[in-house]
Amino acid sequence: MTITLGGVCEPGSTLVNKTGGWRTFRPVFDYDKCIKCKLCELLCPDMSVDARDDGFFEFNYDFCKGCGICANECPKDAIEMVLEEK
Amino acid sequence: MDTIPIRSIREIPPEENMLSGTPACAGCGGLLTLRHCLKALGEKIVIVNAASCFTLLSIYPFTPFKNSWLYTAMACAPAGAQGVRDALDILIKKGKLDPEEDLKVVVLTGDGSAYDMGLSSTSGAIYRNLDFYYICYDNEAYGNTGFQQSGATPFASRTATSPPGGARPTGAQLQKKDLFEIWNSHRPPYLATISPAYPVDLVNKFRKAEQYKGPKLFISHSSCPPGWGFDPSHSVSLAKLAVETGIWPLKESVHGKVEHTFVPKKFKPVEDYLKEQERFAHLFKPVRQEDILKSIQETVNEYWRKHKLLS
Ligand SMILES: Cc1ncc(C[n+]2csc(CCOP(=O)(O)OP(=O)(O)O)c2C)c(N)n1
Ligand code: SF4
Ligand code: SF4
Ligand code: SF4
Ligand SMILES: [Mg+2]
Repeated sequence: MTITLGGVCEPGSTLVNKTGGWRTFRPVFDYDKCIKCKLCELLCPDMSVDARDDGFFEFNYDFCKGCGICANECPKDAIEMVLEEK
Repeated sequence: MDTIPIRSIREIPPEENMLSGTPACAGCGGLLTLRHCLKALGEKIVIVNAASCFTLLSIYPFTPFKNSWLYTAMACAPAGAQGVRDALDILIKKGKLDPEEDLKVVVLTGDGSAYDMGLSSTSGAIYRNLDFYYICYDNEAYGNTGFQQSGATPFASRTATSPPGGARPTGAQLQKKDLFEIWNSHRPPYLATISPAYPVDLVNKFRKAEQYKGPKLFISHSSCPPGWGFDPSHSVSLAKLAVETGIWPLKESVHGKVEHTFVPKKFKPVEDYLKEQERFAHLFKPVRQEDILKSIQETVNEYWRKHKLLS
């Protein structure tokens, strides 16, 4: 990495840091149980739950750190934390 | 922005003004509260940050933000904010900046700066009626350097500098400062406590604050998994328990007049909140420190009685 003098941090440049590699457990949706309430999306500290066109959500595993907040807060138990296999 | 309160999470602005890839710990309650604050504030802001965990969010050549960022020493973020505000005002006056393109100046610090080192520069800024926002994410210790006791550390918490044991089985000996009251004594136009578990309340407070010129101050109770010692998946539920037990009151003050924005119908026992966290584990084992637990509950009861919200 070369650091240029007077450089600028471009907006959102942390997107090159794929924090998904931190995960021990991976959240997985059970769409049969999901009521599209949006809580998982709103309570993720890492902006790793994306809305889909059909009203359901999907995880962005590039960045999800596996904290498990989404699974803990889901009112329908529609998110399971599954051990990552490397 | 209009000030009719929103009722549901569906009305929270969908835009993200902070993107992924930050180095904050998994399950950081402070990061979640910051995400919600930035949704409420919008894109046209400049953040002035004092040394803390969140300094690491924006380290050259990376930033998760869309806005500019100024980093200051721990004691002087509000002084930095004064400089930025003055510069913007001068540019507008000289016709070099369209007033439509003006930026909100937002101080972002931990409790170490807000409660301790930066208290005098904040007092000065409020006194001068500086037009700025202050977001303090309060994880109740000097987190970034290894969780040392700060003025925000609650009584009986274990920290790196208040290890329970020997002659001091209690942990931290001192009571948490009441920063809300300290700031409120300056009669700022707007002041509120917020929580990562109550995003609708948070967004409404920012919407209300926006109509005032002058200091708009926010203190967020920010659950910190490694510092407090709990599973990161409980970050939101624990922040919620803090409110439901009454240990973290959600309130606001307009020109010094305080109103609570959420009062639990029935308060849960404070113990429910304490026993979830390693930093209070010594109060329960090897022997239960009954007198300490009672005194913590009594302090909470006294607060709500004083406000005539508990008989
Ligand atoms: C004057 C000064 N003393 C000490 C430090 C070292 N330091 C950097 S971050 C930090 C902790 C700040 O605690 P807080 O404001 O609560 O933020 P947190 O780390 O908890 O997010 C300390 C002590 C410093 N940068 N400047
Ligand atoms: S919290 Fe649960 S029910 Fe709600 S949208 Fe997410 S997965 Fe679906
Ligand atoms: S596990 Fe944590 S980081 Fe991953 S999507 Fe759920 S809340 Fe977000
Ligand atoms: S130490 Fe605590 S406040 Fe700091 S980044 Fe980690 S969880 Fe957040
Ligand atoms: Mg702190």
